[in-house]
Amino acid sequence: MAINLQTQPLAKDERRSFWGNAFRQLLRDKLTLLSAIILIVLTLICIAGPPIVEYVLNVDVDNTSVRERYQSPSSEHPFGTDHLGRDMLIRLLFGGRISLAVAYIASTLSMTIGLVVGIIAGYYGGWIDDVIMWIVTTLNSIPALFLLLIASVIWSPSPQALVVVLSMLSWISTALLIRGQTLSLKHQEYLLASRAIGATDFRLMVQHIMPNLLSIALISMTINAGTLILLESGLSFLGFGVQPPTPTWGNMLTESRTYFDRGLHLVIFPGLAITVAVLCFFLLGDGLRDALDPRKINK
Amino acid sequence: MTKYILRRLIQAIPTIFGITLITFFMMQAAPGDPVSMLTFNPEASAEGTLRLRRQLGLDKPAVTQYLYWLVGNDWTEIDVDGDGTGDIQGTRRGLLRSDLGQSIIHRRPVLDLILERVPATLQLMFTSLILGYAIGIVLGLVAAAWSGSIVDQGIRLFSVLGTALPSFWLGLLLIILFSVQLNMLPMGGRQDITRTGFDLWDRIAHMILPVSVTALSIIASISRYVRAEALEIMEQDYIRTARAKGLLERTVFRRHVMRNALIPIAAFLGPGLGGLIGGSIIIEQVFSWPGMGRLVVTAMLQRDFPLIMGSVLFSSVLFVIGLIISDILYGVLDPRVRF
Repeated sequence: MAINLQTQPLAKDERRSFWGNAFRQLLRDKLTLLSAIILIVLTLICIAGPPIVEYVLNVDVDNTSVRERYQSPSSEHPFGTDHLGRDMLIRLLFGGRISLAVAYIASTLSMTIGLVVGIIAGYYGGWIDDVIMWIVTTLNSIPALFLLLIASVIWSPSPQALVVVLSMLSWISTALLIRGQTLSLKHQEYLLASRAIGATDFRLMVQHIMPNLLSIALISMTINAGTLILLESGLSFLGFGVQPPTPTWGNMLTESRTYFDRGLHLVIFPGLAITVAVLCFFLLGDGLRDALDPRKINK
Repeated sequence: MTKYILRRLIQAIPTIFGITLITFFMMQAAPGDPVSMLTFNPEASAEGTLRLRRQLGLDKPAVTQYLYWLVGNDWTEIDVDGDGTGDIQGTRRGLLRSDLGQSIIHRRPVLDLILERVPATLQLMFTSLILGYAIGIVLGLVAAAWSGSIVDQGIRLFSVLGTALPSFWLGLLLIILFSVQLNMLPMGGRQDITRTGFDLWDRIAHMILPVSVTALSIIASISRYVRAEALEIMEQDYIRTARAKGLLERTVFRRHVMRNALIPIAAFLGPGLGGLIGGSIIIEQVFSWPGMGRLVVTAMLQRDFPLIMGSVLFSSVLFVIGLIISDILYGVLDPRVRF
């Protein structure tokens, strides 16, 4: 005899999903909304800007001009020019492409790794957990910047490789968070029930545990994105990241360090770009935390 | 208590073992030959290079090299000329016996080089820690006490900004403002090198900018942490009890909220240390501070592998010890924690 387990769907106005609630909460939070908008605009400009500059305006990023060195911001060069007479705005757009791509891709990768590793460690426990935790504590004990520096010295990575290295280093905090949550979910009764009707480990993890952890993973991913921009620009600043003439916000700042007496705009704009992007990611993460916290929604 | 400390120390052994593994094998993966670094001679004779490789143990498999690095090779003889019999006695004692090897560039023991630089780094770190904690705790408590007010909002903005501002940019801006424009503070370094003898004001003047930048990030994270902790405690039952028995709001806050909110900060000390050690690399670079961070960056630029390995190992072990201390401190401060 087949049992019909399907329940009647709720009427439309009664349906209040978790994510729907969170979204409505987010829309009310002005500061978070503002950061999200700034991030979207910044991303779009950095994606659309460089092709327009290259193919529509026919200007090369590395276009140097000895006569136009150290120019202050003007209508022709809104953000001024650098020590080789290159337009700062164009270089910032190209640099933002790398910095933001690193943030988006590496944070997504690191969230995925953290989520998978964390769930496996928490769910299986035993020796699997022991081994994973050993790796996690060990990696956690070496300051991330050190590992990043070593990796850069050894492989002097391209921007693509840098993304991989960064995500290999930044999944740890997510994994720890997810593992802790999995541990507390593991003994819930609905999991026991599901197991009783024959669900496999894989199904339990993917269908029942993971959806509960997505919100946490999302928050940690957003905050990670900000941290990753800081790490990448710090690395570039030390001279180990993406190498000039390919611009990134970090290495533009390094170059300007030598010439800051020739114009403050050389120092101000790259730093401002980093700060704004990081700040927006952090504020967005904060806002998401508030919006996705079930305790807050029920209040 | 003693048992707990002992257990924590034993737990640290696999971690430190893991750190040595990662450091060593990452270095093994590096392309480029340390010998060419040593001789600086691209046309060195093949025979000479081979001798040097044997002498340094570079002809051995990676696992053997790792063992030599760990426990030394003074218990074995090195076959320098490759005839299968040992010629000279090994001299390395291994890092388990506090021998981190020789720096290729400086030609001096790595440990000596590190120990020379550690005081400068610790001076910067501890001053920033004390200042950062003091100001951060006060700000966090103020924000919690008047939560939702304009003061709270201001402190929140300040703390988010404090974590988002790249330290190297802030450092650069401060140098431009205070050293170049106003000519009030030195641009970098630990002391005025033209001056002989110890000058307290000179030392302090050199510390103001780097300490401000480092302390800012500590203030930012601590104040957020304290605020969240205090707000959570304010919803506890014992706070309601305290209010119900007629205590002044001020007394409730000082006696019950504040004291409990400050305990977890001890546990925060350890994990925060890692960021501080990593961050010191950048700060020291910006302010030309002669500490470990600069040593590491220079070693990396010169590909001085023994020195890189030694400093990474040293900093990581320092961090692990910091974690253990903060755990113990937490247990001492919070009587609810049972060992």
